Amino acid sequence: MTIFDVHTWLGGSVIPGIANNTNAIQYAMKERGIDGAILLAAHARSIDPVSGNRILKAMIDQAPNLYGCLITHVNRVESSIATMRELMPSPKFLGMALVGPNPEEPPSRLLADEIINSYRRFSKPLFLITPSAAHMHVALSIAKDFPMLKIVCLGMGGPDWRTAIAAAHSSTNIYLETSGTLDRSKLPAAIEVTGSHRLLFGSGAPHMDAAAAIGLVEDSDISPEVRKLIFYTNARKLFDLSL
Amino acid sequence: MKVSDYAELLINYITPGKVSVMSDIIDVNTLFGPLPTAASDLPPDELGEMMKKNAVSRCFTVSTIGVLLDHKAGNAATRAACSENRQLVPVATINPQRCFDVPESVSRLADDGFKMVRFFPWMQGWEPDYAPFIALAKEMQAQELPVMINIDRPGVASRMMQALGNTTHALILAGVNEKWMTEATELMRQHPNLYMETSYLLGEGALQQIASSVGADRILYGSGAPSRPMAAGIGVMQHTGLTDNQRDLMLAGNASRIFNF
Repeated sequence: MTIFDVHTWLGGSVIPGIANNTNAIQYAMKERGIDGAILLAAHARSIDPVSGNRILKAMIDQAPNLYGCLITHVNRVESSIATMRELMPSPKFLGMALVGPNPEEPPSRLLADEIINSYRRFSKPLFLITPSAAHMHVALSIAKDFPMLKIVCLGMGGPDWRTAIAAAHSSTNIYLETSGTLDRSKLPAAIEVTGSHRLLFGSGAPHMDAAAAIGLVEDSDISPEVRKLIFYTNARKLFDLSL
Repeated sequence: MKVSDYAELLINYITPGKVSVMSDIIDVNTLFGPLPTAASDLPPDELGEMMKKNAVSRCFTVSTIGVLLDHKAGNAATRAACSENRQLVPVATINPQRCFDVPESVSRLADDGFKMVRFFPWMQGWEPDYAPFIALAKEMQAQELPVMINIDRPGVASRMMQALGNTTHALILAGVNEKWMTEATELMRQHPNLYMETSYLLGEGALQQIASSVGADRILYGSGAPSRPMAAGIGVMQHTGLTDNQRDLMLAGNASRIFNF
């Protein structure tokens, strides 16, 4: 079965030597049976979005099965837009993530809108990191205000996955990525409410081993056909992939 | 056996175990019973189905009634569930806020055949240096009853070990994740009777890092099933980069040694 991981980090592990270059990431993917992945740069999120995204670009250009998600900051609007214009035309970048200064809080809508408005021309999905209900409320407000934009919610609301499902039910341009809380109830609940076509497999590796994320899908009460959709088919359609 | 009303209600859930032993995997962290914070309650038969699917031979399990409401009723429910399914190993719990007869309570648990006692400070609203807990833990050392305690944030395990002083019986930290695994590892270096279970140790390379620091013989497989997937932790174990022998220790050998199976 083809598996595509839409949420993997380059760097950021507390453990030395883990996920710090594409060779390490590809080795871990191969061991776990993952065929392709979208990478986000921890360097871009935590240190410097300009150089972090450029390093990511240089790395994924050498790896046919790896793609990138650009990271932009609401507290660095000008440089974020400049980096977006420089890197997003590349077919290797499949989306853009928007982050704020404090990961515990969702990004400010007032600051985010300028970046989102500049991003619309690329017609690619917008990624939002959503570890809580508060993040999901902001994701929903963005989804409602930008109905042509597809929103990928990384982490599916964390422990507040019911809020994530309600948001996806409320706005059909919201896609839910499966990492976050390992709760066997959440995928069947999401499928019941929103259907199976807006669920995307993601791990959040290296913070969660992709084998654990696969284990959640395998141990959830869902059919083999739906597993195929989650593991690859939905991502193939959303990102126009051909692995 | 006389059980409480709550326990009797739970017994109705139970289907006698028909699960065959497929492989030697022992899960030291499972729960059963009503759980309002989960999407649905956790019937023991669901645990049995997961054990079969994932080739888990034994599960240490504790009733959520004991955690959330009344530890005496919960412990009775646990005994009842485990008497129906021999692959379930009974784990007791005590809420230190509700325990006024420490020696008698602990002695009763040992007599009733419980293999371990679990504590849930965050869920019950007490701190791990809480004097009644320390008194209970010391009494459990006298009875040689292993203890598992859930850790929810950095600093908690350090305070607990400081309050406990020198102990010799098995203490197992549950819920350790990559944010406080360095703290847990340092404490394990200092205390040879301290162990760690794996339900939240799911970061890439985490198990390998801990095993190289303190040894694979200090790590026990636990899942948090049935609300959490068993396959997650088992999948991670398959990709640790450790030897088969080290993996076997984590999956079952350490539990067999500590609990005398």
